[in-house]
Amino acid sequence: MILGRSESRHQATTLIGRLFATTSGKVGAIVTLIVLLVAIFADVLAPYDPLSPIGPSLSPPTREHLMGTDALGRDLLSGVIHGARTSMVIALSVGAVAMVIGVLVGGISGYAGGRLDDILMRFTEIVQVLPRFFLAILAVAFFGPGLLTLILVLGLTSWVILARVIRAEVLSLRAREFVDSALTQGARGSRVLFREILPNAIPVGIIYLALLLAFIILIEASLGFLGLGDPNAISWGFLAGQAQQFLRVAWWLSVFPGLAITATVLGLNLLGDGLTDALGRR
Amino acid sequence: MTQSVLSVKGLRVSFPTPDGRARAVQDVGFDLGRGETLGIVGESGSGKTVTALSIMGLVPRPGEIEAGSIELNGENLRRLGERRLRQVRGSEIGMIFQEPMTSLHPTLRVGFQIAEAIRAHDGVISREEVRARVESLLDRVGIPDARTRADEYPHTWSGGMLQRAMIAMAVANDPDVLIADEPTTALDVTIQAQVLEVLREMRTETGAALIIISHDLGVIAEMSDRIAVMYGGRIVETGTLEEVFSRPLHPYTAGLMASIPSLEGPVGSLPSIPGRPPDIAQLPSGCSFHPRCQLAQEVCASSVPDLGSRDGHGAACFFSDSVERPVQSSANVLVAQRERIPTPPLLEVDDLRVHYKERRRLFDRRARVARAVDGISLTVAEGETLGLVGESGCGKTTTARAILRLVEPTSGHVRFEGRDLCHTEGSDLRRLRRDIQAVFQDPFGSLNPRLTVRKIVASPLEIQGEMNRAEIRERVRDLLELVSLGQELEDRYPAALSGGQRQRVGIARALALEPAMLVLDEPLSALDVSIQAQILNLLRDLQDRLGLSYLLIAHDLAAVRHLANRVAVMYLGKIVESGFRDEVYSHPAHPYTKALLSAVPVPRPGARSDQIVLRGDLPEIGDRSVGCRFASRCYRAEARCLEAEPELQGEPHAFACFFPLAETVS
Repeated sequence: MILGRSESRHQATTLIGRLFATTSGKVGAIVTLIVLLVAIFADVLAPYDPLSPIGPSLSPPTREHLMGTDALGRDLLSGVIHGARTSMVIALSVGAVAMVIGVLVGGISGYAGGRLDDILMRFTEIVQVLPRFFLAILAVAFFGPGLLTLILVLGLTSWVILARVIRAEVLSLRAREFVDSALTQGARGSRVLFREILPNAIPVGIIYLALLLAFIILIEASLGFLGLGDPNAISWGFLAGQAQQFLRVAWWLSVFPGLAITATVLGLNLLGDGLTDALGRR
Repeated sequence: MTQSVLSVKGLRVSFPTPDGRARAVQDVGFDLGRGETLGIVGESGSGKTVTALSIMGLVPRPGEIEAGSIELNGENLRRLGERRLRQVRGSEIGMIFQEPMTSLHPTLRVGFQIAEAIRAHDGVISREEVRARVESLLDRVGIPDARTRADEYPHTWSGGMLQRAMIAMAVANDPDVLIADEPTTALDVTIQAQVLEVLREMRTETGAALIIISHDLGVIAEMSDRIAVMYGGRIVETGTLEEVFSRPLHPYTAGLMASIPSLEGPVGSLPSIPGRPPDIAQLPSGCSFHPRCQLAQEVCASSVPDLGSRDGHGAACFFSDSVERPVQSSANVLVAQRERIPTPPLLEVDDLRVHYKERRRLFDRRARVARAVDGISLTVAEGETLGLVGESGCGKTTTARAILRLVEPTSGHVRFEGRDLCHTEGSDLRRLRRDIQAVFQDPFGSLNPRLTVRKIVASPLEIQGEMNRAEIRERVRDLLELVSLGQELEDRYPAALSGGQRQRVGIARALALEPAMLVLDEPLSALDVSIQAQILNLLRDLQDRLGLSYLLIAHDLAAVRHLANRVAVMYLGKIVESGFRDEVYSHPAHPYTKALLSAVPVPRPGARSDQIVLRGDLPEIGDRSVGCRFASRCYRAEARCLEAEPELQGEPHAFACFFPLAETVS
């Protein structure tokens, strides 16, 4: 008689394992990782200084300049590589601000319920109807272009969807028996919220975070395109904006920054999809 | 023997898994005679549902039937095209599923859905004829006022009524074979009795053969002519009902029968089958039962025993001759003694009420009040178990939650060792909570999926904050040992545990603070049959060793009988009868208690003699009406019952009825 045979099956129990089990998750994660690495090691990877003219003006892609050069003879590849850094800095900072606010507002709103929930959700709705892009333009017009301004404006207006999703998740988790169990053990509200509920709610927030980041990158690119980005930080939108004057003579100037934006946004969207599957939602 | 209408031979169904193909069903074969009922018993993962789906040609992808034949009236269903198969489904084979709530389309009228089932197989029939048939079908399955109710949407119907509608749909085209997969598992016991009765009637009316699938040996015993016991994807024993029940030939069948708590016989620890049902992706070699079998020898691990006879009584076991039905041992004496020792009450609940105000809607001036718990008084003495039983919606769980202060009582008192739990706040409440801990129903939902077993069990100790890390580690180890869980499980997450293991973790956590009392809210109902006995024994054992008091909330009367010293029966927010276990079980005074007891299917062939089947559904708990709350369903109700509400009277055997059933000895 053999008692309680312990099973040893562990099929892809980690999140990463399950993420890589789907094609979209795999592609999304790899693309995002590459962009992230390029952003981190931009100084090492970029062959030239992206702001100094070092080559012939408007050269098509050659061996020295893999993506060609712009009207002032600046290397486009270096520009795209440094642009990745700008995009990532903005996207991740905005994401972090939005996540912190979203988790706090959604968590407290869902857990406390009642009056506080009403107040927080009405406030959320007010923020939700603010036109984000217009507000960003306005802020740039008032305070001048700058990374910090942009991060704050976008961060303070982008947390709404996260707060809503987290609140909904908290509401359903609050009725679960393990939460009851913690309460009967005498746990305080803060412990129940931060230890029992939020760790189970945040994964859903992360799915939406990936999609939010893609959206932020597009907004930042749009602002750069309109010339409202930080002039000291090369960004993909800025590069694409510069390219429109030379659309007929230098295709490479618009194609490569455009591809970088497309690839990154697609990668983040796929990552969001993959996370959805990996976390067993849908 | 009559000619068989359905004949299954050598059925093998498999599902791909990362570790290769998992055989969900292997070598399953049976013949079903015209008008015959075959009961298939098995625990989760035994392959009983997959067998049913195979017959219907509905094995979910990526699963696939690898081998075998399924012949319906001599026609091999596996060879049929999708078109012909669709004709067979619904007209020659009718199926009834487990969850009536989700088996019907929520946005179509019930009558329309039944009409669709008729029209799908009879294109020329006129509208009026269809309508008339729908109404007569609903009438036959016992839906009152079928004409108007046919035009209602499923959400306005109760579970029991929906299951009747499903039965109506299944028999709509006079099928030759009916397949009912756990048809009453989601229903309350009094509703189960109604639905089984309808199923029996329909079987007789249509003359169809019936395959009834259940984990509940009681339901099987009540319904079947022949039974097949499934384990690990195979039929391990088959025979007529009487043959199998009187002399089981497979150790699993024998063990299963012995491990079921029953309403009769001695009360004591149950002989449980060790271990747990196998995972079909990792079936043990040879006989898949051998790791849990006490008769197992070397040969069992190496080769698969044959089922032997297909028609007669046979078991797939090499040692059928040595199978003995284990006898339920009786530790009854001890329990009986304990009942009589007067001890001061540990928990006193006095006139507890929990009322929910429904949110006022626009234009609705009257705020409705749902009286979930409507004046309950009870006591639990030291070392005693009080069983609180009742059907879903009777308020038993709300009572438990109010006692645990998970919901705020509207009025009344809960005193624990004389201290009032309802009016204690903050750190005093936190300290008081140490003494009264809870074990919850759903072993999946009661453990935080993001914490390891160690952290889960340690969390009450951390919260109360009186131990350092090393002490907590030590204590967690002791606690896991106390509930017979190995140390190797400490670092696992709940997802990697079985249901029984999870429930043990839940019990260990509840014991961490050395409480004097546990509130057990349906601790067994989510577990497999063979695991229930293990947990039941564990709870008994812990009570003996630690002197715990239990408040046991359950709907399973048989399980309560094996654990409780006293019982209280709840109906719509009130206790209608309470007393010592044996008195209530053998001499119920309230008609509801009697009906409840009589509705429990008895796992013994031919046991049923005078079943009381209650009419109607549980009324909603609305505003208080005058009169006895059971009067609407009571078979003994008289005019007086509608005028005044009877009080709960008597000591120690109390009941709230003007016309009690028997002279009770107090």
